[in-house]
Amino acid sequence: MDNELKVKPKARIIKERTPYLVAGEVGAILELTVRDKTGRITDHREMKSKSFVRQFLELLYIQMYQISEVTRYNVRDITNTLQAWNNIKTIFDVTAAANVVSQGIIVGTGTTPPTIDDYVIETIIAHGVGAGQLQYGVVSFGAPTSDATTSQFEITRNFANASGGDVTVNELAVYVEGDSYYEGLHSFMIIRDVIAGGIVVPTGQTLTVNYREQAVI
Amino acid sequence: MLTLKLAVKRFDKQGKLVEKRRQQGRSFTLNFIGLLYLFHYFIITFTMKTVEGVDRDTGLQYSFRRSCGSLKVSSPAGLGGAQVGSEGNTTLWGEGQKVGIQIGTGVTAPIPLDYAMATRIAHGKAAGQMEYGGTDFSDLTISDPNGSFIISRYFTNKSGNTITVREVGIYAHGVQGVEAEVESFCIARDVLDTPVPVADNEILKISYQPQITV
Repeated sequence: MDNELKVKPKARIIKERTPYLVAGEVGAILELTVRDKTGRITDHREMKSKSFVRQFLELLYIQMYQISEVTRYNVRDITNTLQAWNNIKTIFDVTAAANVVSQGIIVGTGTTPPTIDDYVIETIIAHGVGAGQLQYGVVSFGAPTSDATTSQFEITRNFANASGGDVTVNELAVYVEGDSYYEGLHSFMIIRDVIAGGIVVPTGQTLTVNYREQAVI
Repeated sequence: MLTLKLAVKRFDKQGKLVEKRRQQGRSFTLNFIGLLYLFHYFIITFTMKTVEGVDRDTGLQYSFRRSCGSLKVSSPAGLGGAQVGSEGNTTLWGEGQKVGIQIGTGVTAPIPLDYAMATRIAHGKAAGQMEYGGTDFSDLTISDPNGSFIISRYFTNKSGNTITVREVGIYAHGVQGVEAEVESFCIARDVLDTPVPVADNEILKISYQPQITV
């Protein structure tokens, strides 16, 4: 059975001690929290997500431009296959159930710095309880909210370690699923971040990854 | 990181460029974040404020192909019909001037809760109005570490008098999930660093360039 710790969706503005984004930027703040089985926080980090990759811009382009099934636009999926994509059905779906590793927040062990052409996480950590594996929880959301300068919403996922040993997470990604009707369902990576030095998830503990997508005026 | 660059060009009636300015676009609104949230979360309804100031449930419904219209920014000129999506044999339409790049005369500083231009300049030839062209898109270009595309629109002053443009913005269509109705939402709004007077018969071009940098 999956060791799943659900985070209740909520609408709140979290102000970083040092603002990561300046006026005019849209980006994400990445918050990592490790908790032991009693819920005590054993590690906590916060950083600016650096890396919307090209698929984010391409899917935004398709949707804003309304590229239809007549014209289509090639977008590379996580299997390194170009998909002739359009706006006809879903395009940015991050929702994912527990166990799903093709959608939502994804964790890995790769350390290569991100580039704009990245289309897949470098070395994915599989779902499971085997050595080097983590149990992927359900993806949850915090509703959009704003204050005088910042609009944001949250995407959260828990990763429980029941592998019997430490697992070090070095990279994170966000996969979205789209359905172009003609091409069926495919997953695309829109964000990839590498964590300097990695974050260790000891066995019996849970990593919570929280992406806060923000727009700052 | 996603940023927005804003360019303003003014042409005389012969089409000669007479003024060119650039500034950083600063003002993606809560509605932009809200539409992204809708796409990510894929929920049926979520309440957002339309450009008319009305709270409406907008949302996506997987089985009805309605998602295709939301976040639409491209548009035909003026009163032309903008196809937003379809529901079976029914095509959903919006008004061309109510989507895409917008101009206005307001000077109120932007805030995340802005849901419309402060004082929008309407499409037309009457006093205080300008003719809205279509909202066009350039090709998308990627060159590590940057990627961008350009959204642009022409506005022609046939009102007989000079009109001073002080604010610009972007309206996007959203599809109301339950009744499949089309609404417009303001996703970005900027006050120009320097107002631009557009004389009668002159043409104004506004360009926004969304750019990501890794």
